[in-house]
Amino acid sequence: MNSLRHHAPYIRHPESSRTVMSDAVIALVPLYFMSYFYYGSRVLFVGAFSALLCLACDWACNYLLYRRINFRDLSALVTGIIISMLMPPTIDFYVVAAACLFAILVTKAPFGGTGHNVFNPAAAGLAFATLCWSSKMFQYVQPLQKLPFTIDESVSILQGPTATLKLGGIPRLGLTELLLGNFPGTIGSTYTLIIFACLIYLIARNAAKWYLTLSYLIPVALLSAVNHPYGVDPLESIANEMFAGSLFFVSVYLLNDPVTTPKYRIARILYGFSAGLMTMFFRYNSPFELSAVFAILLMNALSPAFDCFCEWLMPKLQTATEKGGTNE
Amino acid sequence: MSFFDWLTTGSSHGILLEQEKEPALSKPFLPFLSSVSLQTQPFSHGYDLSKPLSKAQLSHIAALAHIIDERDGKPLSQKLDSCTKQSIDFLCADAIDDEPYVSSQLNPLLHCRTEIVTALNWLADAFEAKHRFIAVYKNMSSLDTKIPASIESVEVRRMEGRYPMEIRAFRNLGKNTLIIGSAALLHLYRAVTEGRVQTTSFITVAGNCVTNPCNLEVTIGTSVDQVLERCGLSREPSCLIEGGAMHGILIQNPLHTMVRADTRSILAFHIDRQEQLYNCIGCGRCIEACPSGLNPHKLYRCVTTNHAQKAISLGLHNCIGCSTCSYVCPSRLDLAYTITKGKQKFPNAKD
Repeated sequence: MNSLRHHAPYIRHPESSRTVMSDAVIALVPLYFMSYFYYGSRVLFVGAFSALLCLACDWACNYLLYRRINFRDLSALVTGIIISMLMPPTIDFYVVAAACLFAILVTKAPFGGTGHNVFNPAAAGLAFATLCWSSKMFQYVQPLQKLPFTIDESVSILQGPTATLKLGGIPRLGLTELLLGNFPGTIGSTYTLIIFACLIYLIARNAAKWYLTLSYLIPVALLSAVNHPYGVDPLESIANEMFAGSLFFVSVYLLNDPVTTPKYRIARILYGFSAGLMTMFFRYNSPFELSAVFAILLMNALSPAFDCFCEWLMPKLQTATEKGGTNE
Repeated sequence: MSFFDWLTTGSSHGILLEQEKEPALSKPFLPFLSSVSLQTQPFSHGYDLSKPLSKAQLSHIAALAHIIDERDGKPLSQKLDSCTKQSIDFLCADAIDDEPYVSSQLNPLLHCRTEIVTALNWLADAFEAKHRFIAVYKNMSSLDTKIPASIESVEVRRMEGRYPMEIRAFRNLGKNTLIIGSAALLHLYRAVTEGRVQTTSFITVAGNCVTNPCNLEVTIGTSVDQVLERCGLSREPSCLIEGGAMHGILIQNPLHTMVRADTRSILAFHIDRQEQLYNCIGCGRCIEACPSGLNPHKLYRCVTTNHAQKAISLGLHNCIGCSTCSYVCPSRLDLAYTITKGKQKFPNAKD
């Protein structure tokens, strides 16, 4: 009879937390196809390993903490997929495992599981892996080759274009290469065209907010246009900064994580804008290439503050407009 | 809506709901009367109908006929009496029915047009109202019947906006507005011309368990069980609701629940509702949907953790109880129910 304890409303929107998370999964899976095409079946193993490890770890944590295990909760799967997407194709499995374990055991479970985490688990796991294995995290390979399952000396390791940018060089990638991701890079974050298509899907499904992504990309574009290196067109500089690394991927998937973003619209726009500024600051001043992830992680801590700021700001703005309305 | 409004509050000011009014709306309402209705003696008010009726006469007839406005459950004569001193700018027949499935105001309007408009004209002439119109909800798609633009030269105004519409529809008309439900107008017409006492109310019987969804004119006091038997159930419903699907009341015992004068609908649903398994994921959909511009998920948290002061400062008492937040919540939280409880638990210090 417990199921009879209904309250109004008696009809609900068909969308549930599961569909929100499965939308993210649907938007992430096409990137695996592309990376399989570029790097062979090893990346699929990395992806499956990290996704399943995160899911299993989440369930185990819920079991150990006497929470109800919810097999319909897919947020850990999204975390796992995002972690594998931002790893290089040659990454060792233990690095992936460490990132996943850190994400779930340190950033998610102690704060209270799904919906309570302060920091984005995927971003935290990646930051942890970058800090501990910074040399391994940036070893990319030329695409369009079948990687062996165990990486040995036969695989030639390259630097990515973000490293070139960081050193003040010019990657000189064509626009087609940039859009298709046909350059040394991570497993899933360089295929700009596919990510863009997925972004449109996510916006149409209301799982991503266009104004959040846009407010993040605007300061990045402005700063990279102003700060373009000598002999490079500002537009080319924008394309290099946005599409050569993981920045666009981060702006679509990590930034739109519902748990860690602020809730109000102005707060979201401010959050995106400051995250963009922070990303460019890290690009110019930090030793790591994965600047976007660190910027998001830092901004996550501030997102409740943005919300509080908006709660304070909005009544003032509304009274101001009401006064303006009566004057007219 | 300006960009600024979009920025500070929800863009939608409510939600789009599938109205699902068909097939009940297009079918003429069916009488389902008991002996009470059939044997009630007509009264005679003794007024000359060839002359226009005055305010006091109309109010007297409404009192004799015991007409209750189904909009707010108040006696019609009381409503008319309270408006006698002020001047009325807008006289409005309410046939909005913005909740899904419910069409118990619109259906009498469509099928007894002349009667309702005649009653509206009487009232408007008596109160010397400057404007008179019939309010109908606009966002209704796939209707079998066409809603006319005007009935006997009285404008049918299509009220635009998303759910919850009815609460917000008349806000900008000002204080000198008299709004009367269309069913009450029909009862007034019958009382004036035939001397009939209101013994019936118009209800919609619908829901995914009802075999034959329709509008009924039911004698007041008929039990819900009898009404459902009249329309037929295709399967065992898991919940019976009196009122709309968005903020109706759950019927615990259908045998002993009676149809009242302000009952608008009886809905029988079979819901495979899952247990509440998710936490709030902070998607912010409730903030975007809230028509009052509140933050339902934060209010929910304040109420459940007994932070009374914080909840009141966040505008707990501005909640209009439309249940929009619960409807959109992907985590299936009982936001509206908890916030309404919180309103009772933490009374406003200013009141």
